[in-house]
Amino acid sequence: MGWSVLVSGLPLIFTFVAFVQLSLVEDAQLTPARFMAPALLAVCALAATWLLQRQLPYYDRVLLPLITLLIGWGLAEVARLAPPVFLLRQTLWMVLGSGALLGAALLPQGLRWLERFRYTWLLLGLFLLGMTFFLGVNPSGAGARLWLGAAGFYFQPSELLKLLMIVFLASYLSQRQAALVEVNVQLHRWRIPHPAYVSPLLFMWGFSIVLLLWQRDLGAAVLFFGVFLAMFYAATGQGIYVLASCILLIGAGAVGYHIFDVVALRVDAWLNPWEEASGRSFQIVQALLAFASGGVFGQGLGQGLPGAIPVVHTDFVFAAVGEEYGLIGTLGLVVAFMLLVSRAFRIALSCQRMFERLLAVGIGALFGLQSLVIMAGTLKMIPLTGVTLPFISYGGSSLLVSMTMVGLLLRLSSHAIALQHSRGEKM
Amino acid sequence: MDMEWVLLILRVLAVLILYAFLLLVAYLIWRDIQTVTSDPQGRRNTVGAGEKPIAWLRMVPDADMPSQSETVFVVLPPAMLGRAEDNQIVLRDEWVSAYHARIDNRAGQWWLTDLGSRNGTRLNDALVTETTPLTKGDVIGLGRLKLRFETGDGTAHLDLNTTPK
Repeated sequence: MGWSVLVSGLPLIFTFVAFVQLSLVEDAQLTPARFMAPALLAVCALAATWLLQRQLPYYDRVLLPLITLLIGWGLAEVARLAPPVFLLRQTLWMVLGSGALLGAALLPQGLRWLERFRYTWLLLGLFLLGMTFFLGVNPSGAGARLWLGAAGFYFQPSELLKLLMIVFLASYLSQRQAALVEVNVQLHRWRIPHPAYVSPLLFMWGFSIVLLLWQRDLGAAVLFFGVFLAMFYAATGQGIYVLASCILLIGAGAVGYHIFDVVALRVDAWLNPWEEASGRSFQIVQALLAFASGGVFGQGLGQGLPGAIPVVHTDFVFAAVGEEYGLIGTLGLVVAFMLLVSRAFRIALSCQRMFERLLAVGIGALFGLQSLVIMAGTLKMIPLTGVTLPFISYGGSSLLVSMTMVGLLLRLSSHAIALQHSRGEKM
Repeated sequence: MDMEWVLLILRVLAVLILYAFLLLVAYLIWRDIQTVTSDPQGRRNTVGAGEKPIAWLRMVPDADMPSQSETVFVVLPPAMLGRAEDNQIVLRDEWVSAYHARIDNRAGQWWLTDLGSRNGTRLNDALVTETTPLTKGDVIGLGRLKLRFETGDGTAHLDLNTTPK
C-alpha cells in the first residue's frame, strides 16, 4: 500500500536531510562515515517494519513511523550538540532499543508473567535504584549520581523503574479495581477507599517517590506522581482524587521549597530568572534566548549557537530545536508527541482486558507528561525538572526503555484488533 | 550554486517533509477512527440494538448476598463467564471456576456450554453436561449465583442505567 511506504519513508528522509545540513555547515563534505547513524536508523526501522508485518498482522501502523521521526531527529540533535562519541553511543543504544522493541512486541509468552509477578518487578527496579546509593556514578563527573556503570556503558535505573512502576500499577489496579471503587469506609463526612486495598498501593508508590527524592531526582518523582494519578483515575473514574492529589502536590512543593535547596533553586529560577541570569539561572536564561533567536523559522540546523546552553543535548534539547528549527519545528515536535499519546490512548480503548488497558494508559500518560514537563520547563512555563525529552534527548537508558514501551504498545494494538477480528469471524 | 541557497532549500525541505509526515499520520489516524465507528460488526465500544445479537444476565436476588442483587451483565457472544479477570462476565464468587461457562450465539440461537467447571453449571436446576440451547427467561446457576437469561428480541431497549459501576 502506498501510504504505508510513504509514512515509513518520510521520517528517514527527514533524518537524512538533517545530516546533510549538518555536514554542509561543518565543512561541505558528504563523506559516507557521516551518514552511519541515519543509515543504521533506516536499517532498524525497515527491519522492524518488515518483522512486525510478518508477525503481528494488525499492529498499529503509525506508531513506528512516529518514533522513527523522533529518534532520527534526536540523532541529528546529538550529532549537532555533542561530541562524536556521543552520537556513536546513542546509535548503539538505538540498535539495542530496536531489539528491545521487537522483543516486547513479538515474544510469544504474552503478558501474563508481567502481570502476575508485579511485586517482583517493582522490587527489582527498586533494588537497582537502591544500588545507585552505593555504586552510583555520574558519567559527566559531577552532579547527582543516578547511573550504574559497567564497561563504558551507563544505565540509569530510574528509567527502568518507570516501566516497572507502570506494570505494577496496571496489574494492581486491574485486580483491585472493583474493590477500590465499591468498598468504602466512612471517614468523618467522606467516603474513602478501604485502607486494606489502598495501602499496599500507596506504600509501594510512596517508597519509590521517597527513594527518588532522596536521590534528588526531582523530575522522575514528578513523573511517577502524574502517571500514578492518570492510571488511578483511568481505573476508578473518580476525579476527586485527582483534585485532592494536585492540592497535595502544591502543598508538598511548598514544603519542599523550604526543605530542599534544589526545589527552592528551581522555583526561584522559574519565578524570576533574570535576577541571577549569569548565575544560578544561567541555563534557563540561555534557553529563553535560544528560543528568541530562533524566531518563527529558526536559524537553520547547525547555524545557531545552542552550545551556549549548559547540558543542551539532554534536558535542554528542546531549546536547541527552538533555536535552529524555530517555532515551526517546535510546533511540529509537539504535534508529533500529541499524535503518539493519542495513539497510546486509542490502543488502550481497543484492549479487552483491564490490565492491558491500564498498561497502555500508563505508557501514554508517561510519554505525554514527560514531554510536557520538560518542554514547558524549558520554556519557563513551569518550574524546571530535569527529565529527558523522550526519544530526542541524548540518554541511552531513556531511549531503551521508551522503545520497549512502544514495543508493548505495538503488541497490545495487534492483540486487541486480532481478537476483534476472530470474534467477528465466529459469528 | 551558492552554499547559502542550498542550506535554505534544505531547511524548507525539512519543514515540508515534517509537516507532510504529520498530516499523513493525522489522516491515517482519522481514517482508522472512521473505520471503527462505521464497523458493521459493531465493536465492544459501539454496541447498538439490531447490529449484533445481544442478551443480558440479570442476577437473581439471593437473601444471603444482598450486595449482588440488581446486577445486570451484558452478553456479547461469544461470552466467557468465570472468576478470572479476563472473562467478559466476571463473577466474584469462590464457588465459580476461573473459566466456568460460555454463552454463544450461532445463527440466532443462544447456547450455553460448561467449560469443565469444578462445581458445574445448572440450567433451570438441571446440570449442564453438553452445549444446551438457551431461551429467554432461563435461570443459569453458577456456584452460588443464579442469573436470569434475557434477550431483547431486537426491539426491546436495554436499560444500561441499571448496570452497576
